[in-house]
Amino acid sequence: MITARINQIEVQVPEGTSILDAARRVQVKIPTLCKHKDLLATAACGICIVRNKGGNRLIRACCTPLEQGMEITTHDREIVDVRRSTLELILSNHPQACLTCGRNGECELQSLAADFNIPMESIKRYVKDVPPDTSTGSIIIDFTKCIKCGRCVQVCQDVQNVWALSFLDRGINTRMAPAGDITLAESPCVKCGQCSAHCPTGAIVENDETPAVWEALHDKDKVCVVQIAPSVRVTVGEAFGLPPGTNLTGKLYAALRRLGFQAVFDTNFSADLTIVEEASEFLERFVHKRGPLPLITSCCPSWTDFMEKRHYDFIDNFSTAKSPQQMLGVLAKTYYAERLKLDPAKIFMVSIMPCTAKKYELSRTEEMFASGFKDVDVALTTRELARMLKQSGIDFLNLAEGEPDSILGSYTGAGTIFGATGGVMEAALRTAYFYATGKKLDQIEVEAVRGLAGVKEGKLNVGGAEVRVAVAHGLANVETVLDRVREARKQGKESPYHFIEVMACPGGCIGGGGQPYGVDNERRKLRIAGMYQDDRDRKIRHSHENPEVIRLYDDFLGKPLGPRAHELLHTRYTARPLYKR
Amino acid sequence: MLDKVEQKHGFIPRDISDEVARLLEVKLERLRRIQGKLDSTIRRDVQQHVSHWRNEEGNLIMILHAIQNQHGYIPREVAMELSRELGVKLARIYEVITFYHYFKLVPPGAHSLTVCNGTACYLKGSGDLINEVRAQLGIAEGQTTADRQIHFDTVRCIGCCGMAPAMVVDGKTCGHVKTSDIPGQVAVLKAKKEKVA
Repeated sequence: MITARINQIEVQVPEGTSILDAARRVQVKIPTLCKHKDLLATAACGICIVRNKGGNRLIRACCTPLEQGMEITTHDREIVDVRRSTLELILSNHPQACLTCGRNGECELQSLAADFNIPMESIKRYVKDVPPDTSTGSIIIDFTKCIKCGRCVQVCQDVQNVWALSFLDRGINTRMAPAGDITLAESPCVKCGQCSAHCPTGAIVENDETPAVWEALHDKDKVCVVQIAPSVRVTVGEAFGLPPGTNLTGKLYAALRRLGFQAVFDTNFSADLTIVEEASEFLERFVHKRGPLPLITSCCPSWTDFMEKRHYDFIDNFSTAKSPQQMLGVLAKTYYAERLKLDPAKIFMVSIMPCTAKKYELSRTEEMFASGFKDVDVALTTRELARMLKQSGIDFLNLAEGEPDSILGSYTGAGTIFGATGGVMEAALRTAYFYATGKKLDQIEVEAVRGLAGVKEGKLNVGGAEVRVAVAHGLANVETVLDRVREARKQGKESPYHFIEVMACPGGCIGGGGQPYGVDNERRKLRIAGMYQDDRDRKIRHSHENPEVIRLYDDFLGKPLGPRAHELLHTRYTARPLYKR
Repeated sequence: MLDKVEQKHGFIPRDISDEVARLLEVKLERLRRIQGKLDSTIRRDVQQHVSHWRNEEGNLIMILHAIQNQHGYIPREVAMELSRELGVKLARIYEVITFYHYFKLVPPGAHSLTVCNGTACYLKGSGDLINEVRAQLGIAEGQTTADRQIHFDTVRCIGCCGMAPAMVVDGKTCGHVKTSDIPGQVAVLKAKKEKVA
C-alpha cells in the first residue's frame, strides 16, 4: 500500500494506482477527456494535469502512478488556467455545432466546456472540412468532431480485436480512420458501435433513424408494430436519470403504445423461440450426432459479421437460427398478419435494440426478407428511443404499467436473460436439459456462465453425458476460445467445448453500442443484476414453457426445426472479405 | 496493356485493373482471373521478404523498406499480403506506413520536381516558386500529376543555401530560380514523357 496526500487529504491505495483513480477514492474529481474506465490511459488530452509538491512540471494524473509520500494538488490557479488553455486549444479544432450534434447534451467535451464557462464565440476555429462517413448505415463518423483521444481506436483494436479504426499520419496531421482511404463499410468494421459508446464527443454516433419511424407513425396507411429487446428494459431508465438496472418493461409497453404503435411485442418472446430452435439444434448435433460440434450461438449480428470475415472456418458450427429480432419480424408479417387479417405490406415493424449492428442485420442476407417483405423495417437503438420519448411529451417515468400484445408478447425468465453475457447459454441449457432428460435442472441458475470474466467455462451433466460449454464476450476474447477448438481439430482430438456463446460487446447486450452513454463495469454489473432480477420475477423460467411459443408451434410453425420453421426462422452464412478494397 | 502495367509494378494494382476494365469495357472478372496469377507473384515476393526478416525485432519496418525499394511505394495489395504473412493487422501496417514520411502509398511520378523551402530559400521567395509550380501542374506539393508523370514536393533544406532559392529537377539541382523559369522547367519535364501505366 502507498500513502500519499491529495489536496491535503490522506489517501492509501495499492501500488500502481494512478493519481486519477486515487483521487476518485477521496472524492476528488480530476477532469479528463481521453481516459475511460474501460481503457488504458493514453495521456492524449492533457486535461488531467496535476502538480506534485517540489516537482518542476505538471504531470498527467491518468498515466502517473501515485507514489509514497507524494503531495498532489489537483486544483489551483495555474493548473486550472492550463486546463482552460488546453480545452480552448481542443475547441479551436472543433466545429461549433453543438445544437445540431447527435451528442448534444450528453457530450463530455461540451459539459467540460460548460464547467469552465468558456465563451465559445471567442474561440478562433480551425476545422478541416472532411465529409462524414455514413457508409455503414449503422454508425456515422464525423471526423471534424474527433479530438484524437484514442478511445475508439483502443476499443476497436484491443477490446474488440476488429481493427477497423486506426490512427493514421502523425503529429498535427494525426487522424482517426480505417486503414487506407477507404470507408468504414469497406473496412473490417462489424458495426458493434463500441466506438460510439466510448467516444467522448459526437464524432461517432449511431445513424439516427427516428425520422423514418415518425413518418411511419404518422402514416395512416401503415400499421406500426414494435418490439423491445431484452436488455433495453433495464437500461433505458438511465436516459431519464434512473439508476442502471431499473426494469421499466411495463412503462415501455405503455409508452410505445402512446407513441402510436398499434401492437407492442417483446423480443423476449422471440428469444424464447430462438432457444427452442437452438436447443433443438444442439440436441440434434450432441445427441443424434447430426452436424458438427461445437455449436456456436449466432444471435449477435456483430459476431456473425466478425465470424464471416475472420473466423469463417467455423461457418458450419454456427447455429442457423436467426436472431430474436429477425424471428419476431418475420412472424409479425406472417403469423400475426394472418391471425389479424392484416396486409403484411402495410405492417411497419420497428425494433428497439441495444445495438448499432442490428441496423445492419436488417438487410444482412436475403433470409432477412423471409416474409416476402423486409421483416424488420427499422432498428432503433436505446438512445434513439429515449430521444423519441423525450420529443413526444410522454411523462415516461410516471406512466402506469402497460401490457404487451398477445401472440408475440409473453416471455419467460430464460428469454429476458439474453441481454446479459452467458444468458443465451443459460437459457439454452435449461431447455436442452429438459429436452434431453424430460426433467428440469435442479439448479436452473447456471452460475458458471454468469459474470464479467471475459471467457467463462462450465460443465453440465445432461442425462449422463458431460456437456462442456464456453462463453465469450468482447470480441477479443473469442480468439482464445476458437483457438482451443482449432488446436483440438488439428490434433484430431474431440472439441474442448460442445456449445459456445459469443456476444460482441463486453457484458453482452446490456453493454451494447447503442445503449445509454457512460458504460463501465460497475454499470454493466447493475444492468446485469436487473436482467437476472427480471428472470427471478417470472413465474415461468423455461423458454419451451412459454404458452405463446407453444401455441405458435401448434397453430402455425409445426415442429422445431420443421420445414416451416426452417423457412422462416433460419439463415445462412458465407465467408466475406475482411477488406472490400 | 496489362503487360506494361505488370512490367512497371510487378503485378496489377487493383485501382489500375478497375480503370483498365472500365476503359476496355472488359468484365472485371476476366481481369481478376489474370490478376489471380499475378497475385501469386506478390505472395512469393512477400514470403521472400518475410523469411529474410522473420525473427528480427522490428522486422515490419525492414520489410516495408524492402517492398518500397522494389516497387517505389507500398502497394495496397502487397501490404495486405504482408498482413496475412506476418500476422500483423493491416491497420497497424498502415499506422506505421503513414507515420513515416519516407514510406509512400502511391506510385512515385516518372519525374520529380522538388522545391526547397528551407529558411534561406524561404526568405528568397520559394513561396512564389511553389505557387507557380502549383499553377503550372495543377497539383499541390506532395502530389503526382494524374498521368503519373511528375511528382511535386517541397523539402526543408537541400544544403544549397548559397544558391537560394533552389529546386531539384530529376536529381539535378538548380539555383537562383526565378518564377519565370518554372514554365520552361515544367515544359522540359513534360516533353520527356515516359510510358507509364
